[in-house]
Amino acid sequence: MKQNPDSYLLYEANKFITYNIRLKIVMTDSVKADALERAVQTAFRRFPYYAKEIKLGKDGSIDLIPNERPLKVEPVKASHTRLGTGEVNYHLCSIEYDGDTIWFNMYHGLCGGCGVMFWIKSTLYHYVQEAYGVTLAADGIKTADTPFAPGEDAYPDPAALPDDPPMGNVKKDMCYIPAMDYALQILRTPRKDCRYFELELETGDFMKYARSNDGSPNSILAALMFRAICKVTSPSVAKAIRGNILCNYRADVGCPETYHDLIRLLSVYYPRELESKDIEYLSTVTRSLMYLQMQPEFSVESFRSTFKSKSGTDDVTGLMRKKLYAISHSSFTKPPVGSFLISYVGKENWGELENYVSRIHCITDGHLMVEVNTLRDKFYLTFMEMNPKNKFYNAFCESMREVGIRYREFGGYDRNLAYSVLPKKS
Amino acid sequence: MTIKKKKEGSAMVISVSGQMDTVTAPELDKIVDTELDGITDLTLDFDGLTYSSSAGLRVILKAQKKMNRQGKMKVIHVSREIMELLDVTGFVDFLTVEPA
Repeated sequence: MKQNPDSYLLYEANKFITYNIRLKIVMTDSVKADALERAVQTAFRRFPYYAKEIKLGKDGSIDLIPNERPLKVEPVKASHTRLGTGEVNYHLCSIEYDGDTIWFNMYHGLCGGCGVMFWIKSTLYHYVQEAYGVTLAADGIKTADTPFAPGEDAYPDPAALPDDPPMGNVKKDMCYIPAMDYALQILRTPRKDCRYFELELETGDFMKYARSNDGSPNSILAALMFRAICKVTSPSVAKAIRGNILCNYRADVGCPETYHDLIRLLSVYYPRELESKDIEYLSTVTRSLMYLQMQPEFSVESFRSTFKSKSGTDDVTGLMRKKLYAISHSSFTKPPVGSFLISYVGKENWGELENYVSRIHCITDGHLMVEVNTLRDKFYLTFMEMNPKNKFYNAFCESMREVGIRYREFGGYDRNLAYSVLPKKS
Repeated sequence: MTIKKKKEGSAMVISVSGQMDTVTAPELDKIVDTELDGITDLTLDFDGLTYSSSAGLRVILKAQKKMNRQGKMKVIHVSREIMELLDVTGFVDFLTVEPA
């Protein structure tokens, strides 16, 4: 690859699919703006690989170069944040606050979920100390003084990876896609946000249910989502449903500590006939398919495919042609495309920070997308939907109630995702 | 779950009956890890196996991968219920399976 590997997702990003994330951290008290400003700048210095701005080459190439300007910290705006512009000092991250909530905006190409949590926790670590005058234990936190970890910015070399083929295949049959919801979203003008919903589940109760139903958080949530889609679609419209489940494969390609965004999708194909099966059976099917596709050989295949696509973009000249190439070879839109997506990469250790944070929600693009975060003894789900009547969310909640999973709702809101803006040609 | 093993030269038959789940699957997993050296022909006999969770399928996957490197494997006397599971998960695409 000719450019920074983190830059390539920008070819695909637009106002409708931003490839940005917006993390909502609800604190236990109102945010102290001055303390936040100081903490943000202190913490951000620890993550030089996030301190970037976009550079547009004469051949239309997009690259990321160091950006030493301070990170923008400001009250929440009514308009969408435009990352990469002077509004946010040309950074691809920014921070906003409102009442007791801190918002982290970030271009997803800069990080995987595992990587970004270090930045979030570091910022909150320094903030709590500034705001409350306390000293927190730094276990599991990359503070401003923590040295760079070996492999923290490692990127795999596809030529050095093994060539063993995986066993089995990923089914690529067609499945239900809520195309009308996507179309309506694109047609809405002026651009309006689709919504997300905040849910809280007790970890103990949920894991007890999962274990007694051959489940994990991913498999149970996928089974519930399958059930929900069956509730609101007819068998003739949704003959099959595919759940995509996020898999962070850093370790499979020899970079277990890297911040880079090395994720792929595990594909679970549910024929409609499974509608009559109980959650345990659905979870068994889901987990079995996850085990099959979690073979490291699939990770290597996926990485090589992504690397090839990025290198292919390099070989095309002109920004528009590069964008078209990237979109047509996208890891996220090539078959098998899914009906829904579950994103949970494991329990997060917050240490003493958990005494100062009430909730966390991760907002992203997508329709029928469920992000899962953990804090203390709770799961925090963020359910994203484009349907204006929220029918999938309502059906998902009904599916939980039917099997006795208790949950708490905190409402639905506009996503207000930032979008990235490319500079004018140099 | 009950496991019986029968070895003749480089061939082994592992008979599994009962239920293979998160608690019992590790027993078969251990055999796959430690007792297949020199085995070139492995048969998993599922006569009497009434249920498998995903943990069981995980062990089957592991065993097949191992035997792909050193010989061959087949799964026999598979009940209708487990056959359905192997089919819907696509495991039948790479296993040699003989239904009951």
